[in-house]
Amino acid sequence: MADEIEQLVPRAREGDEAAFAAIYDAFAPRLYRFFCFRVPGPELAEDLTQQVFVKMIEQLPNYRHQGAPFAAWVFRIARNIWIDQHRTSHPATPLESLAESAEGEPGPEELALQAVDSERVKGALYRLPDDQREVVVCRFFAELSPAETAALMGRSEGSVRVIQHRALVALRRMLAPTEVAR
Amino acid sequence: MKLPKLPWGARAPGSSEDWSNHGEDSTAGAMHAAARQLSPDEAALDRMFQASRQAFREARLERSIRETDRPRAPRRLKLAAALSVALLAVSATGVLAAAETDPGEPFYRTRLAVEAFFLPGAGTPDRLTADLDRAQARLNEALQASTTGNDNAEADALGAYADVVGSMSVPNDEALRLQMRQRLDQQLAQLQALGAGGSSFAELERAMNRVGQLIQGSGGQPTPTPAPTGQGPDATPSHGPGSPGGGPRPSPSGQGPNPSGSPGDMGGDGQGSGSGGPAGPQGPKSS
Repeated sequence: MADEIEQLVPRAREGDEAAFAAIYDAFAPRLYRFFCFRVPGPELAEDLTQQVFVKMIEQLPNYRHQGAPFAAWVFRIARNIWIDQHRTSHPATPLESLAESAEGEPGPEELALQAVDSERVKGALYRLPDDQREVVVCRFFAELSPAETAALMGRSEGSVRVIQHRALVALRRMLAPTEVAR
Repeated sequence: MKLPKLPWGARAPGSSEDWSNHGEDSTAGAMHAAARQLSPDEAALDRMFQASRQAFREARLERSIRETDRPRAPRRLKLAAALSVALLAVSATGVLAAAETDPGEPFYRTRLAVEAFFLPGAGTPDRLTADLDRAQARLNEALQASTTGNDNAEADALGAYADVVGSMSVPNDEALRLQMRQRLDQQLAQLQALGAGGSSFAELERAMNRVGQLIQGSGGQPTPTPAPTGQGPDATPSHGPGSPGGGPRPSPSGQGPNPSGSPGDMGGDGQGSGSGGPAGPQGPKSS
């Protein structure tokens, strides 16, 4: 999949619309989920996803494959757009505070997850440390590979695997008592 | 303690590679299930695609326009380069042509300008030597032209000679002054010989005046030269003061080197010997 995408990139850069459409199909749902988890409404997620593609189109002529996967490049754009959007809408709120919002009033990501039929998954995710939550979002919501996640987060692939393992263990532990209660 | 199995145990398609080895399949499946519920519907995907495709097409159009515009710059550059080459070729041809030209020919002054471009710095002993050398060269050209009867070339060469000596100044160093004086004495004699041979150009007069000034400025006196008579240096005066002496051409100013050595011309006493005696301290008189 990643190789196919890498082959599409030069064609899209040359103006091949079919290649661009294929890239869109590969990334649009993943980007949308990436944002849906982080922003309050689907409309904003849709808007931010469009912004990623516009930015990607602008930056595509400058993209050079230098080892990092194309997906990591795309999601780095997405993360920067999300950070910009968050700073615009919450100028005084540090990004880190999002993780703490689960303890009090629901935050934007929490609101987004309310649509998911799993209150426990949502709550458990927000109790994870930042890096573990980021890995889970990248791996399961954005469907990035360990290598792509590692490139996006600036970590080694092994480190990503370890963090993911710890995150899943933690999630399982957090979710287990409720299940037992059922 | 063995953890209980989660109710969302169904694994998402294509999701087994990374967590199957860790025993968290069901947890991962729950994450995938949650993610799937956040997936966009077809309408949302279509809306986003339309907007993105529009942006893609606009960017492609912009790039196309830029690429269309881009060749204009190289065309302009090519034209400028061609003009430069043509100009260079013309200049080179002119310089080469000038290098072969003689006095009286169109590129003679160009040749002299090129020569002047490579002269040593002003005020140096080398420059003085170079100026004396090129003055001598001009004088030789004038003499050559005079021999062949080419008045135009002779006047041209004398004009160039006058320009050279006109640009010279008297050096401060005594040895250099002496060197200059000696060589200008020789050149003055040659100029006077030209006048004696019948040359009557304003350039000759101008050259002689300037040489006289330089000789005087360097502490000497213009070398006495035979009065040009048009009949050779040994001609005996047979006419009164100011008489032309029968030369084939008038003196450069009508008062220049006088064939009879008249006082008005050479500063003599009006009783010029006409036989090579002193021509007077001022030499050729300026008009």
